[in-house]
Amino acid sequence: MSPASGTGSPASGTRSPASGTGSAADRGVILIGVAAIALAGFVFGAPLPPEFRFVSIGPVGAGLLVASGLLAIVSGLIRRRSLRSLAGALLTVGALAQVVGLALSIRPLGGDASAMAVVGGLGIGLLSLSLSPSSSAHPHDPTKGKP
Amino acid sequence: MSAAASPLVDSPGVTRVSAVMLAVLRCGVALMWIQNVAWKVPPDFGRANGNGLYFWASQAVGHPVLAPYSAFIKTVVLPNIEVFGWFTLLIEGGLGAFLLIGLATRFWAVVGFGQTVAITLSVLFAPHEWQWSYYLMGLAHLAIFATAAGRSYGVDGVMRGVWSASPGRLSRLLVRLS
Repeated sequence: MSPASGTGSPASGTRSPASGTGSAADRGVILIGVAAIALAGFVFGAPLPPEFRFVSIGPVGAGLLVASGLLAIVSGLIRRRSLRSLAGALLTVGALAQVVGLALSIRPLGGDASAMAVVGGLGIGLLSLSLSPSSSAHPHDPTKGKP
Repeated sequence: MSAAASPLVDSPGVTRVSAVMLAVLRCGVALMWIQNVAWKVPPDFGRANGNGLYFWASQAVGHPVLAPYSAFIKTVVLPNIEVFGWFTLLIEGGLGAFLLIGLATRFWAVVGFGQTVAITLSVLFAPHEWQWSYYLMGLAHLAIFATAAGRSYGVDGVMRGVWSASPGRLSRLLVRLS
């Protein structure tokens, strides 16, 4: 299956076209959801040696990652683009709040700027997979655009 | 080599194992930036206590690698560390965020290479530094660019088909940056 096959939404914009195994975008959303939940595990990272403490995040940030991750996984499984948009928006707003908080010496997500990067990255990823235009009308040539 | 490693891979000719390795490389480099954005702490970025980003930037003055760069750090960056600190924080946070998900990966590989050059010029001759740390950082970004690592289990790999088929300017730009 090419990345474009089954990707995108109908005009109503809330449900991806059905296919036997789900589209690449749906799988990508599930992958990001799993990553979000895995990275939330760093809330328990304080006992780790600094060499392995890649992300510093507090309970609020971890809760946001788990909730959004679950939302993303469900949206990938049932192919609801609106749910992945919601998950992406939640994470992106959380990252923006952390940026503002850093300027004010407040940490809404706990942790530090690493929480901002992780939460923001996953949020932007989910939004990209949900807000980009549909390709269902155009077959994808995987060699197009390659240098 | 198989033609299609996975629905999440948009690199014909790349095997599944190679695609996974490229994703690991990309995410590993992302985690490096994510972990190291943590000690860029506003508002003064270490000026008051002589630590943090202020300390490390000042190494370019104390242990100069390139005289013009040292002069730039001394006269422009250090007196305005509150501005350049935010610039650094957002650049490195963006590197971590976008390399982690593999979006516009080639663009961010170039940014990462540039940031690596800046860091190298600041601390290469500082005491107790291992010069190959910085050479390897640069080489890792070259590898990410050369292999377009975001096309392997990244958002680029999923979305390039959509972007290629779209007439929009942003989509065309993203095809080039991915």
